[in-house]
Amino acid sequence: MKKNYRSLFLIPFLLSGLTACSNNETNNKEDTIYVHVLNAEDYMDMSLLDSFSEMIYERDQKKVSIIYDTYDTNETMYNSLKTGKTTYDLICCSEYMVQRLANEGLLHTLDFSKLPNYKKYTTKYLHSFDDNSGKLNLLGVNNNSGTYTLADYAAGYMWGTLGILFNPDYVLTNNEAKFNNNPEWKDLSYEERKEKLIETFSSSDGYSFLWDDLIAGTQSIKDSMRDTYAIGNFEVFKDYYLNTDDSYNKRNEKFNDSSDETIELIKNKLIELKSNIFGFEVDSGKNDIVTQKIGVNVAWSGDAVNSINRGYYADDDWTIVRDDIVELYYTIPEIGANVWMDCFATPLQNNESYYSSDEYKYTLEFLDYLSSPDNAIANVYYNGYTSFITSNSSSDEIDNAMLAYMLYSYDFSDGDEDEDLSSYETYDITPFFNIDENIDSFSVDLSYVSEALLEEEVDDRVFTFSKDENGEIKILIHYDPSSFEGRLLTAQYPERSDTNTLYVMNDYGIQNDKIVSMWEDVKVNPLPLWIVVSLLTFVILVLGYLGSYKLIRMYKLKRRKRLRALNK
Amino acid sequence: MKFSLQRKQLCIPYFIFLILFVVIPILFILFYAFTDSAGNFSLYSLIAFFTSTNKINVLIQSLLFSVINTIICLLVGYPIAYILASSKAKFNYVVVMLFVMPMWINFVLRTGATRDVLTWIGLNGGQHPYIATFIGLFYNYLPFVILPLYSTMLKLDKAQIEAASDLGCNRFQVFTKSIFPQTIPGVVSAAQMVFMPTMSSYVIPETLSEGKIILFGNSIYLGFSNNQWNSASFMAIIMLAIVCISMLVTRNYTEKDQEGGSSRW
Repeated sequence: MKKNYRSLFLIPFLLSGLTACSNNETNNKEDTIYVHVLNAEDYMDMSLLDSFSEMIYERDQKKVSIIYDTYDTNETMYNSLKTGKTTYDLICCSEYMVQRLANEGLLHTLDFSKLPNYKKYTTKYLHSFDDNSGKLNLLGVNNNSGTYTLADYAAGYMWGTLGILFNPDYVLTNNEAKFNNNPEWKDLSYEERKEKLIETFSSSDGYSFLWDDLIAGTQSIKDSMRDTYAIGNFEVFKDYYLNTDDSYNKRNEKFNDSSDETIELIKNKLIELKSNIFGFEVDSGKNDIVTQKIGVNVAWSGDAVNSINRGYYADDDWTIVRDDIVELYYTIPEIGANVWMDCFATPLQNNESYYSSDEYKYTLEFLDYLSSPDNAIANVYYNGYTSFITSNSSSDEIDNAMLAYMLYSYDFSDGDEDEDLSSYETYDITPFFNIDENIDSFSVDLSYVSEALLEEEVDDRVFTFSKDENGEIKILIHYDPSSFEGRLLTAQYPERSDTNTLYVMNDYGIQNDKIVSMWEDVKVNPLPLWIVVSLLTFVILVLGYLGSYKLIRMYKLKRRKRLRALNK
Repeated sequence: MKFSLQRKQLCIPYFIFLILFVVIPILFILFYAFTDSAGNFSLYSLIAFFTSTNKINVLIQSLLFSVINTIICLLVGYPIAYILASSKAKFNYVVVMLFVMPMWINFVLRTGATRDVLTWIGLNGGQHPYIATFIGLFYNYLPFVILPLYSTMLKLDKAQIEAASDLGCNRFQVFTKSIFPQTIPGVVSAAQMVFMPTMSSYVIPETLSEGKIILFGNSIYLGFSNNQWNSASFMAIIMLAIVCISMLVTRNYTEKDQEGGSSRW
């Protein structure tokens, strides 16, 4: 998600408000139960809405209809909720927006006992029910009814990182002269340069390289205050992140530093960056990097998956491979990255009876329905993002469906135990899957996912995961980092080594206005002095001319009067 | 009697339209401009606007952009309109249509296409944000200049022009003493059609300068998208005030010639 499509603000709200009202009125007329859902555009497989209704009808003999509305940015959604013209049973938005809404007391806490699928399958890395280690648990909420965390309010949908998407070939050919003149790069062959470029972006200098003159004019950054502020933060506190021994929570606090001095420092860094970049974008970058207008793009992982796919396939169905493959890489700099989470939440309803109504019951049912692995895979297959829903370490085909999907999509090995795996590189995504420590091994059969879920050719590979010499089950994917699948995999999941440097960003709260004005300072170009001076002189000249013209006229009139008086 | 009743009834849809889409929105803007986020009366937005160097800066830049764009459009559009209006060829109407045709295509799509064309000829917004933006503005507002000028020039008093040259004016003097004064209403309405839209344009600078140039429209959007409805509404009021001022300033010129083309457009 996190798209910021340009929008016309007011009229859509008014209209959507009107339709929502009329829907409420029809509620009473029929016995259909309407559940109003608000989500970002292009974010869900719409066939799930009907299949949910069918499922409920078969089970409970009740008609449930999902009214599905979309919005373009978190902020427009916030405005439409705030004005209160629309009532939704379920909304999906970014974690900071859920936090803001919860802080303002606009949300109802979720009863996770009614969400068995979600509780069972959500990744503990992001949403923990046993301790406070999940990322959602880090985001605090303070409102009238007490102190909470987002883990009480939100059920995750999709998540990802903010990293760097780049096209090494474009960067190297477009700025070739600069690379040829740079002492560090000039003696390297093209392939070596490519390797070094990939390494540089992945290293702790990844963000700093955006400021580098070598790639000047090829990179675009997010025209979105929060995301670019995060990049600025990594650059300003680079020394801190590299040399500190602080705990994760301490570093996360640093990442959320929005004190006045920090804002000033980040502002200056970003103004510097502005003069080096191609431009700001929120939704055009993912196309521009495929059509080769730009070579480097600060991108959300979900968009990166989309761009890598489009750089590889010629058609929209992703079946025909292009002749001229645009080889895009996505990476997270070693220094750290922002992790974003799009979550479901239930807006607070004023009448208490709502919470015992069928509407509320089926809202939670729908949310749980989306959290079953089958449907989560349908959504991931549809939008290319990474789901909160993951696998448990069991051999059950539904329990491990998400892992099976990942292996089916990305693993190059053939799953046999006697296969020589040393020729493959491995990508460790263990932390994002729920592993039960008491289990010694489990196996994953890919045929269920390939056949039943995706209706593609049956893949009869079976992978077995068992404890290694340290007594730990590791989920390793055998891949080739420069292959198409490998590049997709690195965009879809961060690696185990990144887990300690993925930070969550709070809502800025009262500092928000200051950061908005910092962002204005960054985006507005100061007028050059000569323009100010010439404008001033122009104004003075015009005023002087008009003034003197008037004075002369007054003088002439007076003289005439005097002459007239003399003549008399 | 019956007729007047009918006329009144005919007015009702327009009246409702005006109330819904003109009066109420303006009242909303006024309300937001002079209240704080809690809805109490406050002059905070006013003070914040006039004490913010950024916002004044954007205002001046937008005014400059508008003035320059208006001048460029007039300089280019005037001769085109004159040639089209004075030549007797039958395809005149077709040529006018050709100039106007891009206006039939969706504005955002057209700007997206302009961006691709500019990249293709090597004037992308990343490297030349100002040039790209001006080309986009010029391209989009040229038809608005040509149309009113064209319709004014169709009504040029040929006899007066002939008389001017008969009475000893050279060609330049004919232009300055006869043709130009006759077309002033067209020029004024053309300028009005370009000046304000340029100032409030949002998509063109955003797309063509790759987000590097902020005009007044972008600044207002920035406010709305960051939940600063009050200050953004105040900026909208400022814009409205500038429209009113420019109308007042040019009022004298358009009123002189009621039959001129200006009233048509």
